[in-house]
Amino acid sequence: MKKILILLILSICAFAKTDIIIYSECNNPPYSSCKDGKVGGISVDIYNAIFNKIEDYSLEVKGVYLDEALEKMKNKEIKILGTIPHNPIDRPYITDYTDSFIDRGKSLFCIKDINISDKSAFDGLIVLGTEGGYLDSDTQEFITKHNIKLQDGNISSNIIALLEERADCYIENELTLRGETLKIQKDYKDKNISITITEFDKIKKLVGLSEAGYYIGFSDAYFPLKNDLIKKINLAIKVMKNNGEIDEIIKHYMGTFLDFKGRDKLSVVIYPLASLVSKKMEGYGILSEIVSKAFANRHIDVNYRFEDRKYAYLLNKWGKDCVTFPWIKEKDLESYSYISDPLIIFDINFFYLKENFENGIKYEEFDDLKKYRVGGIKGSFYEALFQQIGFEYTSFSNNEELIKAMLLNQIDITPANKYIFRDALVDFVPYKIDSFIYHPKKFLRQIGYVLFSRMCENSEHYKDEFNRGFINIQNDGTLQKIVEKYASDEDKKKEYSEFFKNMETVEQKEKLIISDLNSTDTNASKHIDSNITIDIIEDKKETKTKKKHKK
Amino acid sequence: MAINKFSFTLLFILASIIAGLIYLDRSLFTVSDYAQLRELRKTTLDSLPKDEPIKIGVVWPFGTEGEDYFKEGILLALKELNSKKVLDREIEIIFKDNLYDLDISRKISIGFAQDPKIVAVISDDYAKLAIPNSIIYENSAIIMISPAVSEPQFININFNYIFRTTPNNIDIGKRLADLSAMLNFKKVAILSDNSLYAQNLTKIFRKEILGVGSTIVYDSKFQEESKNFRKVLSDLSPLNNSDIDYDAIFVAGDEFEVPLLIKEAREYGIYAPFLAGDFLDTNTILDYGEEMDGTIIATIFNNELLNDKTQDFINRFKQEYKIMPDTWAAQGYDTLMLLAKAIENAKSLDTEKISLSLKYMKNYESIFGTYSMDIDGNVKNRFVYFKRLLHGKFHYIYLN
Repeated sequence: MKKILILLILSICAFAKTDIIIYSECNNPPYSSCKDGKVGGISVDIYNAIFNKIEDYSLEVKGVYLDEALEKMKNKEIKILGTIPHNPIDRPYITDYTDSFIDRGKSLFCIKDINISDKSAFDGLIVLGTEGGYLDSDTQEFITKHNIKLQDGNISSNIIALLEERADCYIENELTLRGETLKIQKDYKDKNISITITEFDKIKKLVGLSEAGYYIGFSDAYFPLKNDLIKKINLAIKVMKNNGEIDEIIKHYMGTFLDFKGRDKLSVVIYPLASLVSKKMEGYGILSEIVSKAFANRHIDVNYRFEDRKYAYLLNKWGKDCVTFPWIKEKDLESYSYISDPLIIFDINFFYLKENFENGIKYEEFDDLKKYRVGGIKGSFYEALFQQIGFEYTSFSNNEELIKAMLLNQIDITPANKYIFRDALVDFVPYKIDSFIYHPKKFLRQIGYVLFSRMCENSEHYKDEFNRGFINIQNDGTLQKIVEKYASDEDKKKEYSEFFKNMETVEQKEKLIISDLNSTDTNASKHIDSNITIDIIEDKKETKTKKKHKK
Repeated sequence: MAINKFSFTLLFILASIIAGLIYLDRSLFTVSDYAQLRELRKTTLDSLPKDEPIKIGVVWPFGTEGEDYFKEGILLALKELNSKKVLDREIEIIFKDNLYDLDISRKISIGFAQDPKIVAVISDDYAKLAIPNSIIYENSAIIMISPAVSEPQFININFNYIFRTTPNNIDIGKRLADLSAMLNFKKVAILSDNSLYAQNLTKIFRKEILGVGSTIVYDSKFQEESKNFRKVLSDLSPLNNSDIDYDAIFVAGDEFEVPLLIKEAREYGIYAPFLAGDFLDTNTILDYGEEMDGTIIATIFNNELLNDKTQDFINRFKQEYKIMPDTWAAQGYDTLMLLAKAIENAKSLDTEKISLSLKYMKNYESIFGTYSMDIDGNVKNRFVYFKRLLHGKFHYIYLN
C-alpha cells in the first residue's frame, strides 16, 4: 500500500509543472510595458516562447514598476525579475542571472553626419539622453571622451525634439528608439498629423556605443529549482538565438503589435447564407461585416473567400483557411476547431407548400412530423437527427434544389430559418414566395459560431481576440450601426434584431443558452449522441421544454 | 508430406546458394577473394605506419540529391576530430558520389573493399543501394554505417560490420500513427508508391493507425517516380466528390515525386495536411515554397532541442558555413563522431574490434541527446520528431 502511495505521489509529481512568476517592468517599452493592467512587450513574448520550450515549468508574467520590483527583490518578495541589466555590484541582492536574451546596448542617433573620431565633434551640439536610463561603462566612456553633456528627457519628447531639429543627437538603445518611433508615427497617423514616415528616417544611427544585454535575474530568496530553471532557460535562449526566433519575435512585435507596419491577416472561408453572407453585397453581407469589424477592433484584418458549405468546412478543418462562420456546434467540431462565443441566433421553423397542405401541417409534438417527407441541406446537423430517428429524409446540395423538390412535390417540409429561406425564395422563385408558408411552432434554436482551425497557428489567440472584439463592437455601438446600415426597412430591422436579439453582451447570450438547456421538462428536446441539443420553443408562450429520446 | 517439405527446403537452400554465388560473381569477388581481403585489411591496419591517417569512405548522392548539407556535416566533424586526432592519427575522408545509381554504387563499394587501408564507410541513403553494398562491406570486414537507411531489412542479424544511426521504419511508422492520434486525424487517406521503402512504411503505418482507432477512408498506390497522380488525386478531390471527408493524407514515396504530388493536389482542391516519413526531410520540398504548407514530416533532428551539445553543434556549424544545419548535416556530423568514438574505445584500427565497440556503445552523448547501439547494429533511443511546413518554412510540432 505504501509503495502504491509513493508511486502515486511520484507519478503526480512527474506530471506536475512548477509554476513560475516572472515580474517584468511596466515602463520599459518596447521590451516590457503595462497597459490596462496587463504586461506585454518583446521581452514578455520571449519569456513565453522560452517557457513553451521548457516542459517542467509553467509561466505567469506580472507587470511591476522597477523601483517597487527592486525593493521587493531586496525583501525577497520577488524571486525572478526579467529584462534587467547584469549589475551585481549595484544590486547585490540579485544573485543569479540567466544568459542575455536580447540586446540593450546604446547607440548614437543623430539627424546630421558627425565625425565621431573628432574629440570636439559634439561641441555646441545638443545630445539627449533618457531620463533615469541606465548607462553602461562603454557609453559613459564615450560621453566623457567627447565631453558630452547629456540633456535628459523622456523617450518620446526626445524623438520629437530630434524631428523638430531642436536637438542634434540622442543616445539610446536601438529597439527602444525604434519602438517609440513607431508609436509616435501611429499617433500622428491617428490624429491626422501630416508627418511622413520618411521624415522619421532622418534620425540615423551613427554608431553603436556598447554591447550589453538584458537578463532574467534571480533574488537570493530560497528557490530550490533555481539552478535547474536557469540551465533550462539558458538552453532555450541558445535555441532561440540559433534558430532566429528572437529576431522573429522582435520583427513581429515591432511590425504587428504596434499596429503600424503590418497587421495580422486571417484567411476566412465563408459560404453563401442569404443576405447574411453574400458575395453580391458590399461588405459581403451583414454577418461578414460584423465579423470583420470584430476582428478589426483587435487590429486583425480578414481576407474572405467564398466556397460551398461542405468545402468551407473541409478547408477550415485542414487549416487552409483558419477561420469560418457561421457554424453550429456539431459532433467532433471541437476536436477540429476552437469555437468562438455565440455569434448569431437562428430560430428554425418548418416550411411547406400551401397548395399541398391547405389546412396546414399538423405539428404539436415532434412525432407528428414523422408522416411528412423532410428535405434539408446536405451537411446540416439535423440530417443525422432525421435519419437516426427514422424520418423519410432527403438531402439537397443547395436551397435551389431543395425548393425545386418542394415544388415538384418530392418533399413535404423543410426546416429553415424564415428569413434565410425567404431570401432564397426571392433569389430562385420570387413569383412563388406567397406559396411557401411556415408552421408557427418553432422547431429549434440554433446558435451560430465562428470556428478557428486547430491546424492553424495561434488559433486560440485569434478566437480570444475575436471574442473581445465582438464584445467591444456591441458595447461601442458599431454592431448597431451595421444593423442599421443593412436594414433597408422596418421588416429587415426586425429580421436582424431577431438574429441578434439578446445579443448585447456575450454574457447575456450565454445565459440565454444556459437557460434554454436548464429549463424544466414541460415539452420536448432531444439529445442525440450528447452532441446535438435541440430546444423546441413555443412561439406564443415562449416556454422552453425538454424531453429526451434515447437512440 | 514430411519428405516433400524437406525437399522444398533443400531446393530453397540450393537456390539461395546459387543466387549468392551469382551475386558474388557479379561483384567480382569470390568467397576466397573476400577471405584474402579480410586478412589483408587486418594485417595492413594492424601494422599501419604511425604517420598514416585513418581512411574512411563517405558515399552519398552528392550530385543528384536535393541540396543538403551532409558533406558539410562530415567536414565539420573531420575538422574537429583532426584538431585533437583519433588514436594519435588524423582522419582522411574519401568522398564518393553514387549518383543514385546501382552500378556506380557497387563499383564504389568494390573499390573500397579492394583498398586494405579503408577502415569504415559512411554510406548510402537509399535501401536499394545500401542492401547490396552491405554484403560487400560485410564480407570485406569494412565497417559500414548508414546515416539514412531506415528499411528494417538493411540490418541483417547475421552481419557483424553493418550499422545504422537512423531509427528504422517501424519506429517512424509508429510515431506517425501516434502523431495522427494526437492531432485528431480520425479519418486518414493513404497514398504510396510501389517502391520497397514506401510499401514497407505504409504497411507499418496502416497497422499502427488502425491501432490508434482511426479509420482509413482511402488507400491507393501510384507508380514509383511518377509525375502523374491524376487517378488518386481525382478520387480524393472534394471538388469531384462532395461526400468525401478525411482529416489528413499519409503519403510514402520519394523526395522528388511527393512534392510534385502535393503540388498537383492543390489543383484538385486538396489542402488536407500530408503526413510523410523522413524521406521528405530534405531541402527539396522547400523549393516549392508555400504550396507545400501544412505538410507534416517526420524528422530525426530537432534543432530546437534543449541540449547543450545540439545547440553548440548548431552554433559551430553556423559559424563555419553561415547556414543552419539540416538533418543530414547533423547525421553526417554525428555518424563520423560516433565512428571516431568507437575507434577510440577499441584502441585499435582492427575493424572487428571497432565493430564490437560499436555494438556495445551505450549512452553515447551525441548532438541528438543520449543514445545507444544494439548488437545487431541498430541505433536505440533515437527520437522521431515532426515538423510542419508553414509559409515555406519548417516549424517543429510540440504536443503536450
